[in-house]
Amino acid sequence: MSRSTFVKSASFSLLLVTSIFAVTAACEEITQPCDSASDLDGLWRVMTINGQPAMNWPLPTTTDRFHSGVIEFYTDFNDDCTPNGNAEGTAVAIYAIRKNDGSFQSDRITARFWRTGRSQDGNSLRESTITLKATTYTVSGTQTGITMTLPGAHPKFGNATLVLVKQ
Amino acid sequence: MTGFLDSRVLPAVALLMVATTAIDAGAQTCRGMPRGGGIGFVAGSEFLGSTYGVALSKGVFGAGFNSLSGNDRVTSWDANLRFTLAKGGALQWCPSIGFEFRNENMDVSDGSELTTRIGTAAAGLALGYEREAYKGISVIPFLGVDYQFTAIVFSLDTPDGNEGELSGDTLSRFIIQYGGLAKYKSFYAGFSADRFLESGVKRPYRARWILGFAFGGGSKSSRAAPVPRPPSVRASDRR
Repeated sequence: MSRSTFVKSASFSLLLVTSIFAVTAACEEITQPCDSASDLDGLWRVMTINGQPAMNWPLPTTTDRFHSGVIEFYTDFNDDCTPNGNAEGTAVAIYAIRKNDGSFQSDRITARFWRTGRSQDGNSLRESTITLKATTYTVSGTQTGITMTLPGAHPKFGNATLVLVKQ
Repeated sequence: MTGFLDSRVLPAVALLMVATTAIDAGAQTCRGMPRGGGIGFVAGSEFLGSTYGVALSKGVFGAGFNSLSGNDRVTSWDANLRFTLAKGGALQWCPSIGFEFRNENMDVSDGSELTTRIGTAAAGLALGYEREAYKGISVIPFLGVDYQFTAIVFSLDTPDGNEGELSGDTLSRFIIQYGGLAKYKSFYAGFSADRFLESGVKRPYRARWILGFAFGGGSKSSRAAPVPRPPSVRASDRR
């Protein structure tokens, strides 16, 4: 390939890239992934357990009890580009269990999560369903604004309905 | 032991033979690479940030490597390999299989680091069409549908050394891949996007640009028409 041919080809390629970029920028729905942050992202703290304030439970008498915890959500796909749209991603739960001897044990759970449910205008407050799928169980709860309710059924801390608030 | 080796080696040898004999098929137009293959620089975006990488194809094989940037909490890289066979002429249809591995590292607020390893196997069918549009410039639109099976494994590096309960997960879904290339001599540029084939999904989850250098120069469609042979040397006239 001669030098002039190379320069001509390179110039044409540059022009082509610019043209294609202009066309695709004008057609965002087929060319641009969503990049807006989800309102789920961040730290959600357990405020109540079965209606009782978290971190205020008495010493367990028989089995270990859930004491306190947070869930950190991180969205890796949001399909409609609104903060409260359908989303999926990774959740890490960090929690503490109070044991029979009064000591605390900290532990973590990782899970994939899905949020579904959509308001008509996409922006108003809505109730969404949150599904957390871990190795041995799946739990589904609801989210409205900055409040989330997870009816738990877990071998470590029994049936406990957790109410979480975004921090 | 011999039987074990045979069971693993024979399919690989068969696959290699099929691949070698099918290299002339120039399958990559169905998957957003020039006929005959090429190497390109890839830049794009997805929900988590911007991606940059390279894509390489030759014959029936395509491979790529990408890394993620522009995200404060997540770093990621992925590598992929695809095997594609082509049927047809200017309009090709191509069955293909592929595999992608993705590694994500995410900072958790308690000082832990969550590593997510995502393996995806895909099989699907794609269409590609190459046509000279203007004086050696050929355009190559393509469209493909894949069924993907994804397995996810988590591992957590925590300050206290306690990993807790780490789940894995599996997903299966259909995706659609679409885009187009424009090619002039040995240079090509184009766009490719991947989108989940589910109701309610409004945007692609990944979109990438590619600018590259094609192997083998101009495409068949952009080459000059062959000069007819004199009647005296036509094979059909030899008696």
